[in-house]
Amino acid sequence: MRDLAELVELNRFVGRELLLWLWFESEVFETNLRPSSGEPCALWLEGQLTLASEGEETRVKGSTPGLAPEAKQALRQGKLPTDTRLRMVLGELELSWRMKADELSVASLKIPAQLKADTDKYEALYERMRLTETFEAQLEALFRDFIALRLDDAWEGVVVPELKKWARGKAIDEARYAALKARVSRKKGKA
Amino acid sequence: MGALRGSLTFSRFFVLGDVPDDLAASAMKKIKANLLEPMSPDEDVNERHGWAAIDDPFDLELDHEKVFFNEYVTLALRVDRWVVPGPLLKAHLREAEEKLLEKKSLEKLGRKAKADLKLAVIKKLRRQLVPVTKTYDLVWNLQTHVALFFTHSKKVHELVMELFEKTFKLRLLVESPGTMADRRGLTPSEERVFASLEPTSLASASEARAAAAQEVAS
Repeated sequence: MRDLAELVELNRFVGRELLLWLWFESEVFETNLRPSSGEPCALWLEGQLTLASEGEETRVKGSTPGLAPEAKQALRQGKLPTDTRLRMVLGELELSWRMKADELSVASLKIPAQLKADTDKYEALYERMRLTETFEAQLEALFRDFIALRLDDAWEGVVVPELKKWARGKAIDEARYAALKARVSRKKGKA
Repeated sequence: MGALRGSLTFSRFFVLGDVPDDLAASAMKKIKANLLEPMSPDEDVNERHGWAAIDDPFDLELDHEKVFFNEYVTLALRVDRWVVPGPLLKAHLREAEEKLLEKKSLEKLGRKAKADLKLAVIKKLRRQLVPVTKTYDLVWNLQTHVALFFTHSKKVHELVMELFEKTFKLRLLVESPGTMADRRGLTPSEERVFASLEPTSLASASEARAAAAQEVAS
């Protein structure tokens, strides 16, 4: 096994690329994401978005920060998202949270829990953990699709060119991208 | 906020090692041995940490019902710290110094005498204060081997990792892009690809140059 401390620190920038990819997918598929090992969901960026590169930061605020021209401009300058708020509708659940890319940490996660700790502490805890675990399983499903693409040759060959087009407001070859995702997913399934 | 109320802010940890089947029976003694021991003003320690009940940091009478709930282990890391306000310490120290100089007919105190006096004043002031208590919830799912710890503070992460290992003889590994990829079960060739990844940039060379020039100009 790789040294654990080394593994924790290895390629933290991949977290920024995950946020970039979620943002891209959310816009290309009009918020409707279909992770291959999770449930279909709606996901979008909201509230605030921070992009950074080598000490330079761009902060964008607004109801849809991903759509702001300065956000795409920051991408074209080589910055990547480091911190944003996201909202997800998963079946009947609506969740929102802040995500810090380098640690993949979750902050201020709002879940639709019904039970109150003041009436039954452990039942409330159980409900909250169940909802949190449902949320985490969905995040993990999205990450699995992302990392399969990221580790495939197609990332540099197809995905990055599409990301560049998207960052410049050019039309995306949606069908080609969807076909690529399906191919990578099948390949990973066979492996 | 913690595990029981409000929005949730947490770091995800993976529990490494084999969890014994009889954990609920075998771990209680060790949990009790690692409960927070309240500090007394006369002790030389400034900070202490240990387990407490989730949702009630002052409940140090843990039993099976308070800790084990279905597949979850629920605990709180409690950290107590003496915080003597600087201006209060300064004022009392000046007064104590003056009294000591007068009593011993001295003009100045040596370094060691000053340090001893400061410690004595701190201990005296502690008797008028209570330690500052902070707690951080830990919820460990025994089926998934995932523990959620409700803070992002790296310093507090170190405390819980050390205490968890001491209590359960199991290690906690914090989530990161690297650990999340690793858990997905990379093939050896994917591991090599992952290790050699370079960050993606969407900048074109000309736009990157223009951005750099703009930054220099500003």
